[in-house]
Amino acid sequence: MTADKKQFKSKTYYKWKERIKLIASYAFLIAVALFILIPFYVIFITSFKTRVEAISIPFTWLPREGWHLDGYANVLLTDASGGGAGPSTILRGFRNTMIITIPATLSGLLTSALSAYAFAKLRFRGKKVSFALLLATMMIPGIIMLVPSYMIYDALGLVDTFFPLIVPGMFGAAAAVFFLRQYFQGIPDELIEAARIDGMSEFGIFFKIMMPLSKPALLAQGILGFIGGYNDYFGPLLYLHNPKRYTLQIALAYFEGTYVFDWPTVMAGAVITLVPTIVIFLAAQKYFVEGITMTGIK
Amino acid sequence: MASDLNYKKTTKPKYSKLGFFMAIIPLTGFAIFGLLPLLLSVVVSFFKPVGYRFPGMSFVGWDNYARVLRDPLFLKSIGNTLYAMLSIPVTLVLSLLIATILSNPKIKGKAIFRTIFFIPHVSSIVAVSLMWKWILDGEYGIVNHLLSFLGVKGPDWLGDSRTFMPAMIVMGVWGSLGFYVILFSAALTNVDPQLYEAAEIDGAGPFTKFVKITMPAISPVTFYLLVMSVIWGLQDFARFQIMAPGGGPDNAGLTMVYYLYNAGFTNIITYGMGIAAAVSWILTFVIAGVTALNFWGSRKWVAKS
Repeated sequence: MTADKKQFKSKTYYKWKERIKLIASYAFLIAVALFILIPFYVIFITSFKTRVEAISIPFTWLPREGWHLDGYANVLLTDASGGGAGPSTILRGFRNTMIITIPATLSGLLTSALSAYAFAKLRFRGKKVSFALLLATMMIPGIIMLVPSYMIYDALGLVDTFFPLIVPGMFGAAAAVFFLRQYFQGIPDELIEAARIDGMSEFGIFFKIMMPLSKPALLAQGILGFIGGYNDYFGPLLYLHNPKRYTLQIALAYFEGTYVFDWPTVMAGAVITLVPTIVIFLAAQKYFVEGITMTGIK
Repeated sequence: MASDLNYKKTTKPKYSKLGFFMAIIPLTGFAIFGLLPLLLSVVVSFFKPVGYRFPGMSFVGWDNYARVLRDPLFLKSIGNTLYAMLSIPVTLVLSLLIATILSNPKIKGKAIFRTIFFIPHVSSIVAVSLMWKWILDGEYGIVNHLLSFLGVKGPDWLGDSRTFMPAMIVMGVWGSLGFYVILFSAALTNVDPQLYEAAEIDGAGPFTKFVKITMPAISPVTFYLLVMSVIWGLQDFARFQIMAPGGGPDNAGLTMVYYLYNAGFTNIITYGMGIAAAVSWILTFVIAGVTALNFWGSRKWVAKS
């Protein structure tokens, strides 16, 4: 019955139906995009306002009193930990974050890749068991290790040092091994065999053949690891107590208490913290998205 | 082909010791930094340590567990955590809708939309929490400014125990939407187009096609997202600690991990590490239980790949 009716509708009917569907689709997508972007716009614009304008009613979509940089000056020049001279709280936080994140990410990537290479391309006793064990470690929520880990580090005098934040990560991560193993399996065995016949060592094969061929996968995991480390909050919150050792995230979190009612400064701190990861994401999003989808869809 | 196989066998080292040592580096890391704490965590949950020290712990049996489970504040934190997880079904539905729209070949600028939706996922949770605190501000926030156009006087969202969690749920959707869209989009492109063509020949409308073909085809991804977001949701902490200092209005922002953090770190005098360890085990059993339930339920709706 309905099928019969449809046959009598004109071509223009379908054309318009399609058009309305498209318009509705765009309207919906743009609405969601605004929902995502407006909060970012608001902090961006607030960071350039004066303290008075930031808390004036009604809200202004552009700084009415001109673009002020007082917030950024506070962020980049002031040491809120009370030291006076020396780098600002945020810059020192940034430096500390790099000291922690770069070695943890690079070493973690290398060890994960070595492990993934062995699981993908080498034969050894206990391969199945060790791979199953590795996957099992992914299922354990990190939260159960938290209390005794803290007590152990405290007993060893390692609380308020970077050790708990750097060293455990240097041994690699199961998720990264899993992802890189999938990728390495796609590289033809013939290449490796040819190199082996030429007398290349296993490390030679790994560094001269596997690594260069796996750049996108390594980049994907490296970026994921770096952004995760850069944004980490819980670890530094627990282990770092001296303000001189705060990471960027902890420094920013304490900012609010230091600059009460100074929203432009707090928001300038937030903008400065957000920019690096967003820029990295925009520059390398192809690899990034690949890394996400490949771990999600096996 | 057969000679090829033989060739492989002769050139591949039969068993490589080096391979074993390379493979187990991450496991070694876990053994050192994970296994020992894991075992000690069971022990500590039955003891009452002085501060953070192992020496001189007194055995208290099940007391830590009993005290936590009788603490109305802990029960409240379970309720709060589950309440916040209402963002999961909302995000699932919304992101599937977005991914479906983006799968329409006539839509232009797909990459731009996906990029925009994903930005919150790479953003610092601290910065994002401060951002939302500001836009939700009762007096100067943009949310209430926008509501004023509709003639609505917006509440002090984070200062009122009734509006606190709804605001956090919206923020949760905002933060995780892009991740879901990426995974759903990838899943949708993998659906066999011949299935749709066959269904069209049989006279199926868009709704029937979606329910009978799309939903089953992407069900493994839906399941993955559901399992992972439940595990993450049960451990939600950072944004609550920043946006609800001290637990928020009437402790509306106290989640389970926040309770654990208070017990072990901010309020160690009244609670202590023993209690914190017990909470971590209760939380782990909740996570394991809900995940098992998820897997059990999945037999009814997830397509086997």
